[in-house]
Amino acid sequence: MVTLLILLSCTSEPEPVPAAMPEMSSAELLTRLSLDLRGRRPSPEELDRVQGDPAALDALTEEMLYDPAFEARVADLWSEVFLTRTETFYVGAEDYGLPDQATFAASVGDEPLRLLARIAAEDRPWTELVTADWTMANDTLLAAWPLQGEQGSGWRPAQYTDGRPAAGVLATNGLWWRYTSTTSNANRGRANQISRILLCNDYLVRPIEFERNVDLLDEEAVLDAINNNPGCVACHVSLDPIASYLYGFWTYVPDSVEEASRYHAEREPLWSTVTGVAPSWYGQPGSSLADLGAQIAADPRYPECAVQRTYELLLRRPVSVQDVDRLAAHREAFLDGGLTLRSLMRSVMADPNYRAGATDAEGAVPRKMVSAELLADQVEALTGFRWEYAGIDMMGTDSVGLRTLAGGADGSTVAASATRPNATLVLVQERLAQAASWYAVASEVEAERSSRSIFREVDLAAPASTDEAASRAQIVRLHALVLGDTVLADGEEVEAGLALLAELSSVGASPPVAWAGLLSALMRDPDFLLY
Amino acid sequence: MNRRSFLGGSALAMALPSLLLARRGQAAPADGELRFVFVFAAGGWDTTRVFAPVFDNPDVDMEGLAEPASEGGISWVDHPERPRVSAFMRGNAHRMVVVNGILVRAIAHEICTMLALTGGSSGLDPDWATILAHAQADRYTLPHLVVGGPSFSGEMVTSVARTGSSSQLAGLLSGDILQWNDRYIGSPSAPVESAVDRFVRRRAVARAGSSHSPVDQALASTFAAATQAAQGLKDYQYIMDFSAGTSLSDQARVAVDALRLGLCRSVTLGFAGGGGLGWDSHADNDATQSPLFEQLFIGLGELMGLLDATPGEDGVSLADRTVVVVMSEMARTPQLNATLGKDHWPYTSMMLLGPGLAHGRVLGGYDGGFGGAPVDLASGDLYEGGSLISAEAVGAALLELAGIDPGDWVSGTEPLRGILG
Repeated sequence: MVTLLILLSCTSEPEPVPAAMPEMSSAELLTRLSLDLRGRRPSPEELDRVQGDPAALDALTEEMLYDPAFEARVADLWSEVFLTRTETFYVGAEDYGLPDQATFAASVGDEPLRLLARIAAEDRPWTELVTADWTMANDTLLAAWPLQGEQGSGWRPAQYTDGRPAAGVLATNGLWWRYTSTTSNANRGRANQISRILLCNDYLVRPIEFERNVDLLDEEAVLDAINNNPGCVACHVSLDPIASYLYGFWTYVPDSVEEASRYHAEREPLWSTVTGVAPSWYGQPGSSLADLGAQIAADPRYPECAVQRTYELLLRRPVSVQDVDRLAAHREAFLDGGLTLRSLMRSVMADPNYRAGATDAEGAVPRKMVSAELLADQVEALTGFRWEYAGIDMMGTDSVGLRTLAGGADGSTVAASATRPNATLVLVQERLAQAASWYAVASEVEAERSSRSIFREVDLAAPASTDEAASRAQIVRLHALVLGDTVLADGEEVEAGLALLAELSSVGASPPVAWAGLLSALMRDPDFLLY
Repeated sequence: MNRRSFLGGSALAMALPSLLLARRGQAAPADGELRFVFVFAAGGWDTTRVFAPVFDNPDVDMEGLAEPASEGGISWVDHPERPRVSAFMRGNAHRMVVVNGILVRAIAHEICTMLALTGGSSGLDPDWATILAHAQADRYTLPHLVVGGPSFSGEMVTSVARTGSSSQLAGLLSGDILQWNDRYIGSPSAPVESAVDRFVRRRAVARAGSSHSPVDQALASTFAAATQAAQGLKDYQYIMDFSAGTSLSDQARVAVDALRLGLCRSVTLGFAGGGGLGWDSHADNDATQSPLFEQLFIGLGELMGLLDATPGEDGVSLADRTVVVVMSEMARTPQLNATLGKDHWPYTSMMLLGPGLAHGRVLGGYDGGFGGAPVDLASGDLYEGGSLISAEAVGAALLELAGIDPGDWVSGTEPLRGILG
């Protein structure tokens, strides 16, 4: 896409120099950066820092780029591209004697994302995504698959012990369990996922005009058409050779644990009998998955796609022709930064479109909406509450959970995350806010004030009217924590909060419940979704 | 001389209007009164098991015990293992149109789903059900209710909501979902919830009125509208049950309730036989497809029965107001593969029932290679010099049926007006 856009730009008139785009306030920008990089809102202290000294934003941005939460945020962001977080695979936890299917499915889908995230967090070059001789695993995957992991807990580096080639995500079970193939498909669907995810070139969005003079019932005629018919050749000439690299992941019995778990090096030459098309990458021959990884890593479209993806993920909109110059600048920053994702994200986050304030300029993103994952993350950071039911992440799944109702994508029934709120998202926001607020108040009501994170200003067991000054201070703190707003203790926001507390008290709410009600109300604010 | 030019000068052409009238069987309600139910069979159904009785094509593997059947102008494949399919066809032929040989220009599930439902492959465009519903967004609390199956809302996101496959929407509305929680502490009482709801709605409206940029304004206004719709849905929970699982019968009940109460204009249902891509029978095609078709048609029978028996707000039977569209994103190869399965095929069929349609007609067809046969889109008649039927052509016709200019949404094809009565 980027290449195409650059070509398009060559034929058009030079763009007029745009007027300086207004930037959002330092507090708004800090909130956006903090959510994008850490999955949580800035602390009141951080807000004070940038409001007192806007130049402090740069230092804070650097701190956030190296925050421990950055790695998981990168995985969340790219989950919208990889779409591997599904709940159903041919092989399940019970096939391995593991007790927890939800954790198993979540682990499988996260494997390639965690590999990518470690590369980002450790400033490894983007090329390692397709050349790494390691993967990432947690205890679940280590117990299931032929993996040798480093000592420790949680997600950690690991290596497959089945002799599979070094090819980063291309050699992960997680990717190919999500994207399976069939005899007739012959790995072409998988090849397209490589192209879609890593080159931003999705063959499947191209309209197909089936030649009516090709007898689709005749296998030889179809094969001939694939090789010689211009309408077919346009895609198959480049797609089929990529598919031929992937036979090490070929399974004869997809739901066999033994088949699905390990790589089958002995099947790599199967292409010769299935399609007869030798492995190659746009004309460059190769023989193993490692060759494919190296070829992708050397392809200039590969970093260009990373730039495009990062831009789209951080702005939450598709790229357009107007973005060509900006994408070129970010590509330079990416190259100059040693192809580290951190350098690319730093560049995109300095983009005027990312930082746009009150403007109707085309391409500017003065507001965007949180994803389902980010909504869950910021609630957890604020309250300590993660919505789980029987161990299932309610905001990250669909069979029982609420992901698609909250605007998330499952990659099949919902193709892409929502970028605008709807009724079910608002309802999810409501119930999540209630559950988290009640949890937070229950967690803090008995705790010493100094050890609380939210309700430091008030005695939660006493009516708000007992100490109005403290209640006002608490409401000011709630606005800062939940919405990143600085409000005055005698301002209308605080008056509205006090009025709600009084109303809740009048309908029988105990003081803790009234505070929980106010906290939930603020977490249901539009600006808790829009940032 | 082709059939079309022949008809142009024949006595039959003179009689055509009365024949069409006879087919129609019932007068179409005004455009704006029509409602729509889409039933989606995910995975790719085998059209040769019901809709395409191509027994005369030696290159198509028909089932051994299958027989051609017809009723009231509708022909189908009858099979002893699928008695409810044939019962449904016989009982509903008088209000049905079948379209065969519809080309979806891909053979990948996800892309075909987008093409079949939206006419495009980006996933960013709204689907037919959403466009139809959104056109009357001001009349319905929730214009498009998705009880099952895929949906694409595009920019019309506020017009669409999903119920969830485990009745999540019902739980969200009642608050019961708060108990689906390993750390359940408690939940607000009704008065507390009401007070907070009012507070939130006031803030949402105020926020929409104080936006600093068009993008911000659009998002804040959308949030306010979504908040209003959510409140409206909460009110509906007391008069209808949003709980629906994966069975078509359960989903049909929710759909009919929602239509009866005027909650929505469009409903999408999904039937995949246990979830996922249930119809994707790359192996053991008949062992998979045959029971799925039987279950699908049992569910459709229940849906039509409920629509027949249920008056809408104006007292007229919902069946006389509701167009039911039954579809799958693709079809399956005409021949069995080595594992007795069938692979992906880009020519499929669709069945439509309800008012405003050319009842008792089978449009389109299959050629010798089991590709789609060209038709005259205006009449729906087979016509060698005509066009292949695309999913967009059918979608465009549905939009036209509802009084929506299809030119705003579909390009490159005329509507398949032949399906219209």
